[in-house]
Amino acid sequence: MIKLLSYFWMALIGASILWYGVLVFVVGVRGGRDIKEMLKKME
Amino acid sequence: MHFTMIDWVIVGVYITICFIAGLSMRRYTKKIDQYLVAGREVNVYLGVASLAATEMGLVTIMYTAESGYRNGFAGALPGILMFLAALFVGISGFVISPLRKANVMTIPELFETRYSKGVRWLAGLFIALGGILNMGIFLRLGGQFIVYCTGIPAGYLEITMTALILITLVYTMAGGMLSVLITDYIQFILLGLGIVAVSCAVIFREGLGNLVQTVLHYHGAGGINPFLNPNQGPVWVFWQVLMAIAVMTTWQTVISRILAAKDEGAARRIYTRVSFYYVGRFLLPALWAIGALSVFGTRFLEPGMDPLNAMPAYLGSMLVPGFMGLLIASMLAAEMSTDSSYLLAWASVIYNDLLSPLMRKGLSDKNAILATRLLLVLIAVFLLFFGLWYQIPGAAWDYLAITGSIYLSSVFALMVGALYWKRSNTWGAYAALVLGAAGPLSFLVLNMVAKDHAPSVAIAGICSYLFAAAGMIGGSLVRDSVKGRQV
Repeated sequence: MIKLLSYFWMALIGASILWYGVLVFVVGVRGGRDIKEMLKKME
Repeated sequence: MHFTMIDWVIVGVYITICFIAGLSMRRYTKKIDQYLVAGREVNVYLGVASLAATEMGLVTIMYTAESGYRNGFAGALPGILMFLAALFVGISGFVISPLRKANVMTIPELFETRYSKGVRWLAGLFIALGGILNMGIFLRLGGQFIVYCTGIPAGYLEITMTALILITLVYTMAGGMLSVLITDYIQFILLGLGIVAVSCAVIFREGLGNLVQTVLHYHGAGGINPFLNPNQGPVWVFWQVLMAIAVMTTWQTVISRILAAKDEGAARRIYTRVSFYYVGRFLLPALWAIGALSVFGTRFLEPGMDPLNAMPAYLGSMLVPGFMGLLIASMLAAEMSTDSSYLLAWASVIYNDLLSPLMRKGLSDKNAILATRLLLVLIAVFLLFFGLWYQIPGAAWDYLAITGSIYLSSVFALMVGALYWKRSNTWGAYAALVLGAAGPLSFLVLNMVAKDHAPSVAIAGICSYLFAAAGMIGGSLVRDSVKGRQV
């Protein structure tokens, strides 16, 4: 059980780092577009 | 002091860009709904960036790291529960779909249509009170991180805190939600880069396997299993489950992104896409703290030491110039994005739900924005003074959870009652509000006046949810029966 839980937390750490990396890239690009659109409508 | 010229330049550039971007939004805010909910024009990815940046404050990093230092990986359990709660709410639309369709600017506004003006006012009071008390420790914890990590003298903590809140206050006052969104976007990117870089550096330096062994060495099986952890256990886990669902459906700063979303579909997608972010929100700072545990041992748990300082002291000792600047800039980003969102959220509630209902004739948009700006200043001043003298009873996360419960439990009961239970009524709403706040408030008061008689934080937290639910059901049924007899 201890071994299994240890692997669980290690996998979760790896997945979190990966997810943060992907999110920064994807949201960085598409969030920028959202801002442009939003400000255009506000004008 | 670990800060070099290059680090100062990185931090200076970040603050300047953020400040200018925030101020530039002033020209777009002419109406109160533009100021409070960005004209309800927020699309999915901007919503994700803003929600994620708001939810990952420097205070979050501090208390999740403290939890990791005290409890090992088991301390990250609330993150997993919040991930599951956000995913469930995003997929099912539970609460957020009907709430977005209601087109309100704050949660209490919904309660006026379903219950009464009085319920709206009282709920607004509880939300503002719980929220501002909750925010009370943000500045001190943020300042503590900066002082320990950079190595600047401890006497600078208050000055650092004051400067931070002033900068944040000025740009939030300028453009309201629009400034919050734009700066959140910049802060999200910087924060994400910083978190990934620091997490990789910790793993590279200490080794993932070694970090797991460190947890097992100091915390035993309880370090990886919350049910076996002496600081947690099944009752604490149950409280966290209740809180995760309540936070995702009623915490004003989270919900304000839903209320600003351009439609119901966008609101739900924001939740599903941001959900896994919550795991890292707790787990990655805990990982940094476990790095501190492997280097310092349990030294920071000894009497006279503060476990909150373990992680910043560790990072301060391991990072090289340049990297340190990136870390501090990203942590300032975390602090500022959270502070700005929280300031605006509570000011919105005070204006919209406490002051507005008392006025016979509503204010013009210009005066409404001015009133909200004044409220922002007042909240910031209160936070500065409260943050300086208040000592947290026990772990930071437990303090935040219990002050949040002042309103989470009751407002959750009101919300579910309003949206899903036809028999809910004003009596039930009042009873839920009063009973829900009783548990956390008595815990806080007892902790100040008679600490030995205070209940455990988990018991106080669970009681607040049970009492609020009982108040809602009991009060509504009593009202029904009284009305039936009168008829």
